[in-house]
Amino acid sequence: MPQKRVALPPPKPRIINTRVFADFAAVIVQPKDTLTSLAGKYLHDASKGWVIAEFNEVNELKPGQAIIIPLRPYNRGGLSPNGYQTVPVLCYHKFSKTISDRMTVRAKDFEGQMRFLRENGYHVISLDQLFGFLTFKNQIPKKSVVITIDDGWRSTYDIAYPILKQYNYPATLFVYTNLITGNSKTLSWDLIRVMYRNGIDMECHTKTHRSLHWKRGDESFRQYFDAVQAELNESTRVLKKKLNKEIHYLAYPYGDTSHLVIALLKEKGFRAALTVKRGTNPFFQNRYRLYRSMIYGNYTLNDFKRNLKVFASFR
Amino acid sequence: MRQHSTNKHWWDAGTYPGLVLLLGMIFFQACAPPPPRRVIPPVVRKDPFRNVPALYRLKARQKENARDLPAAIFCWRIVQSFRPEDPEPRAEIRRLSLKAKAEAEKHLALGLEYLRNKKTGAARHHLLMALFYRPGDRKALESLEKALFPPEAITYHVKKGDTNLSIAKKLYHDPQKTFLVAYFAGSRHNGPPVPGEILYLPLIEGPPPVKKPRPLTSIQKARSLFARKKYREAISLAENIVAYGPSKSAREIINGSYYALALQKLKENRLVEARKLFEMVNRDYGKTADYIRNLTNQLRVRADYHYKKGVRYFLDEKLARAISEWETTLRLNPEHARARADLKKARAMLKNLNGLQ
Repeated sequence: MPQKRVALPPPKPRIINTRVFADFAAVIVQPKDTLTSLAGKYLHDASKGWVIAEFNEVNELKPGQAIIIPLRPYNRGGLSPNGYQTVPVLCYHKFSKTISDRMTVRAKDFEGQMRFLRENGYHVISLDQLFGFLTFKNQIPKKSVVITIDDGWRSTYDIAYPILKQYNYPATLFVYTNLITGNSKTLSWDLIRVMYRNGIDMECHTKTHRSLHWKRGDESFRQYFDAVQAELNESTRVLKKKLNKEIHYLAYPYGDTSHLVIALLKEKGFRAALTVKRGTNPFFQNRYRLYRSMIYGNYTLNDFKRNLKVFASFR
Repeated sequence: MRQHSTNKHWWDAGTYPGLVLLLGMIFFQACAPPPPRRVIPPVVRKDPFRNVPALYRLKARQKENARDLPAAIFCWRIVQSFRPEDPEPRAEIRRLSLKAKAEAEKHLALGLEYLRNKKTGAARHHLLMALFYRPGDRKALESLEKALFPPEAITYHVKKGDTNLSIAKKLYHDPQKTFLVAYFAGSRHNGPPVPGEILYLPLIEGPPPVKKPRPLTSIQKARSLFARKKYREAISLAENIVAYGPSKSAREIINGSYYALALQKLKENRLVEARKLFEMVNRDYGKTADYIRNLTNQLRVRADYHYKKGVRYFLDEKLARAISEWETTLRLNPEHARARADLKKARAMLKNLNGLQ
């Protein structure tokens, strides 16, 4: 008797949506996937969605799309045959709701500047990320910017902090510890702690904000040396004690530095220090003489844009 | 007598119904159609990455054309991972790796050559290119640092007989800097310098160079002009600053300058001009409000005096003189309605008279 054959429904084809190799992962985007979720899954850092976006030259993901996720930095130092990446570090001091002068930026202008960064594809990175770039170890987004605020004025908390929080931008506040008295114009340690817990890094801006560059007329060299030591040691000690964190970076008061100050910083384990010399930083910039551009209160958006150069051509 | 067994089964040969049942089962089993055989169709595995190799093959070519060899190699690696049996990606990776290595070595050699010749700009370019083609090139990275950064420290090899004092004298020409040598040597160990040890001591800059005066900012210039009593120029500059954006300092200079100019006019008894200048000043500044009030009153009195004088001339049929007086009235008090109306009337009459003549 001939055997009757019964056709069964074909089994569902097994579709493999992910393949992981040594240097990269290949992924078919699923409806729930985002740049952030994939970065968290494959790069173990949800903030690295930009790696996927930049490598695949996309701004957002579409379900069904095949994407490649590089698992290691593929362009350290932002070098290309035509030039190299540079990172602007912006420097603010005071903020005000109504008035502006050289050192005071109006809230409306600051908000406009932050919005400009967001709308034009800039990534605000932390000083630690910048340090990784400067040591030729890590890759950072092509359009990276660092935001820093000096001194410790109350308006940092009242005006800048809510705007930075709104845009989810990291920033660094360089505190000169003698200013932190908590009066109507200055920050208190409680406010500093609130900001520190919410993405604002706190670093050193000395104790009294004296220029570290030159000895004063009435000082001996020894007195000057001891004064510089005290400025660095005392401010670092206070910051460590109040915030329970290590201090890695210094913003020189008035941007002034010298070989001696740099030697002391290296000896004390500071990773980098920032001047107020206008310019942007390639990975090979001297880490103890980083460029930083002051953003003045009378700047228009065009003036602001001029400080955002992120690529230097060889020619 | 046969013993009855309690553990006898129904299929035991000795049991008749069991035997029948067993045979029946075998019979039915033999006659029944065979069970359908499962026909398993071949599994069609859709490869969602089927387009990736072609895409990255294309990208690899584009990157190579753009001289971006590291990116091209990475693209070929992607192709190779998906098509391990394909010899092309392997061959391309080998070819491009050799090319990148050759480029890196060429640029490193050029960079070092330029560095020896102290052509820093060219050295930097070639060392960066060497790093671009071979990112792990430590020599290129170290040479780049040398090319770019002037030395921050003095490297000193400690000799036999050296002390902190002798080193301070030798390097800094200053025995008072002995503590500095001790500090930086002591950051590694506590004790005198050991022969053969290498010390890295900071360079100490000389006294501050005489700074060239910085070009003055606009506000500083305006302040300077104000201090030198060049009020008109100070106003002009400060108004430019205010036009650029609100500035408290510039506004202060504007107020101060107009106020000073108004006081000058007041001294010269040029009350109209003084009042005009005071009106340019913020009312809260100095005694501006008081000055404006007093001047307005004084000018009103004077205006009335000239108006009445004009009326007298008008009645005496001295139209030209009347017109002149009422013009003065209006200059002193532009809001003098009667003077304005009478002036209009007198001018019309004078015109008619002139027409008749």
